[in-house]
Amino acid sequence: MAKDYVMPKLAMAMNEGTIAKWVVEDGAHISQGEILMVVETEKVTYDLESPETGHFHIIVGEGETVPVETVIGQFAQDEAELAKLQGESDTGAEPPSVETAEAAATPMPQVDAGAAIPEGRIKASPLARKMAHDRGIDLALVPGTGPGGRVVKRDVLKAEETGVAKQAATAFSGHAAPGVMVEKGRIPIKGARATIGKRMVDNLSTMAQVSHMSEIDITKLMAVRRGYLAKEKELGTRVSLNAFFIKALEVAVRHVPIANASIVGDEIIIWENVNVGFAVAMPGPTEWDSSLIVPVIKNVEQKGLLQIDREMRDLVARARGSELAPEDLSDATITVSSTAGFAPGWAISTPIVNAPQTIIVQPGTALERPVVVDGEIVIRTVLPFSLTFDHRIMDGEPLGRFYTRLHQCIEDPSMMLL
Amino acid sequence: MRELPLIEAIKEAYAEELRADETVFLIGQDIRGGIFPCTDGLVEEFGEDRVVDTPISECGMYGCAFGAAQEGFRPVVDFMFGSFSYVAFAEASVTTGQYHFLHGSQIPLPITITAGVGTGGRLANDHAMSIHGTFLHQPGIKVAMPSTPYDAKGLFKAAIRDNNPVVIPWHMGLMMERGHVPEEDYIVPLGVADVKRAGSDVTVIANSLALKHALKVADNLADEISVEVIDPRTFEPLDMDTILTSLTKTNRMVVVDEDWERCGFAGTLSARIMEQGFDLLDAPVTRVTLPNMPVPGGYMEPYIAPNPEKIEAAIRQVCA
Repeated sequence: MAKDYVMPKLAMAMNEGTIAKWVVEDGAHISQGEILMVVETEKVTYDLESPETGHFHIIVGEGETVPVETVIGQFAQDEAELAKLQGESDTGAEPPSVETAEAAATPMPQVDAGAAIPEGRIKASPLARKMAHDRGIDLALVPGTGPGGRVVKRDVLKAEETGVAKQAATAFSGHAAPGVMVEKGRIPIKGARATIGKRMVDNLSTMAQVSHMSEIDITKLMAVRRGYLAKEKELGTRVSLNAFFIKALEVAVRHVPIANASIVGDEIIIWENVNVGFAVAMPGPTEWDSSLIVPVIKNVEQKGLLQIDREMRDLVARARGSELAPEDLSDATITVSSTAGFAPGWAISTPIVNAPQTIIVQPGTALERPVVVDGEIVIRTVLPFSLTFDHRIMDGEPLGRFYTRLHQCIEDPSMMLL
Repeated sequence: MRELPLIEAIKEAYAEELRADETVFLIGQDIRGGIFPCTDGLVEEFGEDRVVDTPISECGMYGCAFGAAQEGFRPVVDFMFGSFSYVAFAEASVTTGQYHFLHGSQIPLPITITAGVGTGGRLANDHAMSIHGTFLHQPGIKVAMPSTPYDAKGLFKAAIRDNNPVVIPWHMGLMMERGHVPEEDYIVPLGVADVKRAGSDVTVIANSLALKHALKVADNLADEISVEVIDPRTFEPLDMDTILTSLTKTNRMVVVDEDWERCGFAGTLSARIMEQGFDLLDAPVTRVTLPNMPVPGGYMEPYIAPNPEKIEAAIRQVCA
């Protein structure tokens, strides 16, 4: 029985891939683990290993760009089966990939395939535009099947029938009767949305999460950072507050290693590497959706502030460009999820630990507050700071020691030198 | 049910109007003998004063009709072949159309202008030109063209009775086309289109010989595409209501017109559809017309005309 080989999804934000090169020829025998193809996603190129052993039949040619999960090749167990596969695609009017891609298409291909969302002006017939407008359907989300990909009447009717691509219905039907529920939009729970949802529920339901909130006076830290910013040209980067937080986490972990641990089976593994994940907000695939990705800075224990800052900026840029490789997202041991900027004012929260880690910290937005220093009320810059830990792994006392050191390092960066 | 060829239906219209109204007369070259059978023998009943042969001078012939119309007559001017009207074009088109306006709407000009037109006879350029588009361009003139014997009798009678100048050519390719023609007096009002075949996927606007082709294509495609075929019957006034009603249903339109592409009826209708029916369109309006070149003679003629193959291709294109 032949096995399909699909365009793999190498990163959460990857919607399609280009076959840069087939390393094997059509029909060649390949063993599991040998390099099978080179795939390009945006600017990143990967060598992909064969997941199977067998004769490989190529369906989609080099240079072609296809949505992820599209069948691009097949493994045949023997030459007879290979001949059959090759015969099928030789005589078929349509390459099997087309059929399979359609069959594999979900009810919302326009959401899956980022490529289906056209750049700039949407080609649609006047009628389709009017129908979409009247029905509150977002034309950008309707795949066009007319000449040149034009969205025509049948496409709008299909979108309506499948209930996708609804946009702000209220914007067009402001006269909806009171008491009537008017649908504003729909988001399919799939892809990143489904992953995020499942992980959050699993994390909350399997761990013993305890949250801890406080505020940290970062007046000194701000002064140090100002000093760095004055030397921006020399340093080559505008060192961000997050870089300090990431470094401070590593220093605190060094003092309390249990904070950098995972439950694996019936054991707790304490990690030597301090791999810090940091949450990056991403736009969702539809107007009403949002997304989230957590790239990882590896081995922070070996890195200084500048390198941390540079890597962080690089990872953020690549996350926004959907260029992150799987390894950029893996093996975090502790996480920072800053709400600075989008949670203004004094705000604390209960972040959810990302299994199998132990701790997540959530710095808020720094603000000036009256603080008592040496018996005097003075204005200081204060950072609301939240933290959640897994009580299965560590107890209050080590958490207290961990937090105290973290607090000290953020309050006074010179503590990080100790 | 009585059937007549289209040319006989025209003759019947002439005879009935000549009989009913003594101000009506026919004027043209060799019309008593009947180069075309539509006037053949009418002189025997109505006499030489009402079936008037003229020398070969289109300007003189038309000037005569123009003056008579000013004096209260209802002349029918037969130019024989359509393009011969261009010899008297200044009078027949520009002056005729604007006369009523330029003279304070005092004097109507009830002139009917007719001629045989169209490809199919392998007669080439001068003998195969369409003229409806050229006259349509001029203000103040009504333009009609029959596609069936029934419409021929009714439209010619309506044209003769109309107080405005009416240009009503007939397609030579339909001369012997037979169809039901009632014996009684009736008219087909100017400005009323006719849905010749109902359909739901695409509206084809076609007239005269092209209408015959369009109906044949619609039959052939019946299992595949439901084609509605509409004959505008008059190009001016144009029955936009019927056309837009059809477009509301089909959302696609092909305009077939045996005239050059440039500045023709097909272009005008397409523009009006864009202006008045933009939100009804699911595909661009597509035209099937003559290419912008002289009509060649002989065996080439059918290839440049709006033939069934071109009409089918256009239908498939807008239904893609």
